[in-house]
Amino acid sequence: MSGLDPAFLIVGALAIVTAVGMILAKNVVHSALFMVAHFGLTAVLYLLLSAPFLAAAQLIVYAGAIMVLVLFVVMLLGRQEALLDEPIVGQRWLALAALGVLGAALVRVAALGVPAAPEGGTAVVPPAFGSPAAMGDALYTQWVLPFEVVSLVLLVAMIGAVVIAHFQRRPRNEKAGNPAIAADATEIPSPRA
Amino acid sequence: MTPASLPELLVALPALAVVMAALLVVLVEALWRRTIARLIDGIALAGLGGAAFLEALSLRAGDGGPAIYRGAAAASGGAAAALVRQDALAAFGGLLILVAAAFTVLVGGAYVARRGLRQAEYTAVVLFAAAGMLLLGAAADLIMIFLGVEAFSIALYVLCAFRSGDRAGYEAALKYFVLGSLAAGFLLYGTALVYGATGSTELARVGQILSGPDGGATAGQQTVGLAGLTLLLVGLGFKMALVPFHHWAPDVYQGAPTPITGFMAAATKTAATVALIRVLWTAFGGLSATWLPAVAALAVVTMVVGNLAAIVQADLKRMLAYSAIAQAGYVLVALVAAATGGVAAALYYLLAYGLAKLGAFGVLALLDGQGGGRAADAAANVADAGAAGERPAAGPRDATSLADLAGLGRTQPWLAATMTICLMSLVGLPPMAGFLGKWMIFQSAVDGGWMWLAIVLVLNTALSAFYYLRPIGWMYMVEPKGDAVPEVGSGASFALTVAVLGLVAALVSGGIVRVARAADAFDRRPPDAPAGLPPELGTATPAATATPAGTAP
Amino acid sequence: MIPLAAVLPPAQPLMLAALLFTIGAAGVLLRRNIIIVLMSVELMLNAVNITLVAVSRAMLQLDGQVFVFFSLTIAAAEVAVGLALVVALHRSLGSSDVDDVSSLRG
Repeated sequence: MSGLDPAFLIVGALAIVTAVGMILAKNVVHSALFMVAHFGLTAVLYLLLSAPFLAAAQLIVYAGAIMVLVLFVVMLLGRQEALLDEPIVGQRWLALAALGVLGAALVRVAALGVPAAPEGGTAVVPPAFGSPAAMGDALYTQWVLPFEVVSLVLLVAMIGAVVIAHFQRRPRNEKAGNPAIAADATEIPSPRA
Repeated sequence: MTPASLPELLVALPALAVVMAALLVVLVEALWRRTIARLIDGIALAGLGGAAFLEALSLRAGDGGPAIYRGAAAASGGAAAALVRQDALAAFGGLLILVAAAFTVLVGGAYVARRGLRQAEYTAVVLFAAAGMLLLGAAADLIMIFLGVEAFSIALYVLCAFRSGDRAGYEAALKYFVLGSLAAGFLLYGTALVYGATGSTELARVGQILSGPDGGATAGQQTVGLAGLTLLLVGLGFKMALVPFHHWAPDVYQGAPTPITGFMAAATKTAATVALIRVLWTAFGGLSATWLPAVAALAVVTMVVGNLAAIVQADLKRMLAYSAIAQAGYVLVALVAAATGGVAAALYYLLAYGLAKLGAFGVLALLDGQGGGRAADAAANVADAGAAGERPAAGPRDATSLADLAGLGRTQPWLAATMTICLMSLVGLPPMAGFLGKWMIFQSAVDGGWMWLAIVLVLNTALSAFYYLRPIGWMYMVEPKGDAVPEVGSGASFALTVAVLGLVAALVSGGIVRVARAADAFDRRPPDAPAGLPPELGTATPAATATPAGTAP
Repeated sequence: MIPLAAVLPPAQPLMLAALLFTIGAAGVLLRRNIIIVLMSVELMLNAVNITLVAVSRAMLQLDGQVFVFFSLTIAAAEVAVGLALVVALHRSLGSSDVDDVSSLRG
């Protein structure tokens, strides 16, 4: 195989830099900005790997919707730190060692490439590969059931997010015996000033 | 063979009935704008009952069963690839999940109503979670496993945080969320590696490609495939709370609403176990010589750590959480011995264990509010405090300490008896279903040549008697504090009755054992086995069934 | 479609993805800010997506890209619930607690 593709080299290096910047940033907003850059670079990577539809979806869903949501919550909450206990209390060195082992193992496995790939490589990519039309065809003919399941997951997440975040905004004057009426669906949650 | 009409679709995918019921509950709530508890319960139970009927249809389907395939244009490999398959294994696991869901709807409905929370959303999300678990139990493709896990996990995150304004619940949900998402990442990575190794995500196809060196798999395919299996094991291990990945379980079990804790203990474990059985034996059965020692070691660590940690717990929910971890270790022993009837043992044990856990957590859910003062309007106080941004006053407190059980044998003899039966079944004392389950696991391990594993299992059972019997002592030997008698709703005590009756019925009849053995006939891949019935179904079954079922009473 | 990709050996994007996955896991295990932890989880899922796209490209099978589509959607659902939890927990802490916590950091 040939050496590193220069475009891949640049995008990959930048992706690593932004990822490290994201987890090291002190300020949440900086972290989120690193994340946006990282997602943008991932979209470029998808283009390099013949996935144009996913590149667009990546930009719209990740860099667009998800990161805006994250930034919105950051602004809603103001400055906040350390809401979470350390998942692994007081064992940072252990965690670092485990991560080192994990990373080394994963990279070694990745170096084996894709064993199921055809022998001679796949240099010639059909022009429609990864296009919106091809993706739509695959989604709605072969993968209909998973597609429906995913839409169900979105519905559950929507109901759940409303229940969790909206529920405590009930007015004070409700009767204890009949809370569901007071928590009317028309009430729109407003961020506390 | 791909279903064309709604009835065919329902037979192939009973989860659909549950989803329809959940959507109906949401719609009814939205259109009526008030909570009609009986109507919601009725819709939910109808959906769960319908799904149970559909599951029962395929209980004896063996490894055939109706399936939903990828579209006609599918599969370069020739044969159509199944996405979900309603085989006997899926049906058995599904019935247990449905019982747990019905139980959670009934017991939880009372719990939720007492706190002034939204019953319709609670019911709907429980149903969605159950549907996700059913899907996971029937998944025949790694992508469906991932989606099933995500479907029920996201619903459970919501349910853990269902008590409005309750900080412990939110922290439990967040912890579960973070570690659960981490697990999802591992699960998906494992799927990607298996896909890269074999070019397929369908479990049966992966199994064909990876079965043995003469099956055409190169060394690279096996290495990458096994790396994928490791990551899948981590992901499913999180969901089953196996030991190196169990850190979330005690906190989450303690912080979540008690009915949800029971649901997680019984149903999540069942669904994840069924998925693990399929991954290990359908997809990776051909490479079992490589991974069996690792899984056996996992089983030992899980049993020992779970039991040792459970002994030192003062909080009942934490104690039951660690005991649930230990129980997952027992189930893992059965999976190691899957070649000698272990799958049937695991299924029967999951049934006995799940009913006992539901009963134990059900009693705790009905006792809630004993310790924290039973102000009738406490739920409203919580809501007001939340709206005003103050630290919420403690509402009805979940009963979680041993002291909450003090004197229960006198004040609530029925509940105390239920709790006692459940705990004794969890220990595995001879007259209980738990004993038969442990016996089956023990026997399959011995038959499979895993004598040392069977001995570790017995030693751990003895260890577990210490902490399981302590609550019984509190209930019958300690004076009750105060004279508050918990009011127990009729629907809730009915559900508890069912659980206890289920335990007794499971004990009396060998029928469930036979059904579990039929479910053992899923599509597995020990090298060179034909796709028909596995040998133990034909020969070993009658004797093995008769012995434990006959001697137990 | 893009000519640059024609010569790229699949192992390189796979190794990149493995590194990014590990970085994401480090963020989850070592950071205590819940929002950064959430974003680290997204980083991990994103790394897996890169793996899937690379595998899909190497085999010229579209299935891997379809899986990425599902994974994107699931990630969006997870983030919605996760952020709702963060907001709810933040509110339940009450304003004084948050001041206390953030003042620890100076």
